[in-house]
Amino acid sequence: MSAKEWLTVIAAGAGVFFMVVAAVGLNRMPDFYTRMHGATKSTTLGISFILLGSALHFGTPFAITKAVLVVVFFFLTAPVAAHALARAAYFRAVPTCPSTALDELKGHYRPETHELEGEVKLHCCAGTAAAEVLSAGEHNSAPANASGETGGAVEG
Amino acid sequence: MSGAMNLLLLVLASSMGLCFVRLLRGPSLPDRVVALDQIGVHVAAMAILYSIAQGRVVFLDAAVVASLLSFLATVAFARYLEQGAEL
Repeated sequence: MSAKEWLTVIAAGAGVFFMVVAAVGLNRMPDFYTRMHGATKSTTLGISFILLGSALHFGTPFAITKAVLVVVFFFLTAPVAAHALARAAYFRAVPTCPSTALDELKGHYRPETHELEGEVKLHCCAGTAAAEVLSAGEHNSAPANASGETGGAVEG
Repeated sequence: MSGAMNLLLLVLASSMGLCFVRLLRGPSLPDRVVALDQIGVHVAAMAILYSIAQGRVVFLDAAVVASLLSFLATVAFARYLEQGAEL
């Protein structure tokens, strides 16, 4: 086999490895949210590697364009689908595993309208630079959100 | 080349079997939807590997369609799970 064929097999093999990791994570993780977390991300990486292998194998502009298109499509749609599913599961109160320490969204969703209310405090990264950035963003956007929510409540 | 791809296809098929186990077992309905989404992605990956093994570019179109259908099915299921039958 030539070097190009070896590269193709290695890329496709890496992709299949990540797909297997996703399937194992789907079976071994303790609750729904961790299962989805493990499955979605590694599947995106796996299919990207497999498409890299196909682009290496064919090498024509047509095949490379199609591979790039599918990779971009997966990077756009996989997080959207995962977010929609996790949100639906949270509203249906799918239980988390017993060792879950913290639910920062608890009590912040209105059950009837499925909208956020109040200020969600993030405990996970307290004292770090990320927490400061997040809290600064919340302070900037908080007045607009508050006025919008009260306006909606008055209209309703 | 074709032999290596057939081996990888076999591994991918067993991985799909693992996803199917979760589809059957899944304690909640969202678990089953995630397993179904994973099976759709596996189908797309298998189409790509098959196109490499056969040396034909046209099977990449099947991968595009499979991934698109899997995404649409997942989003539709998520919307149904969140809001019920009313849309």
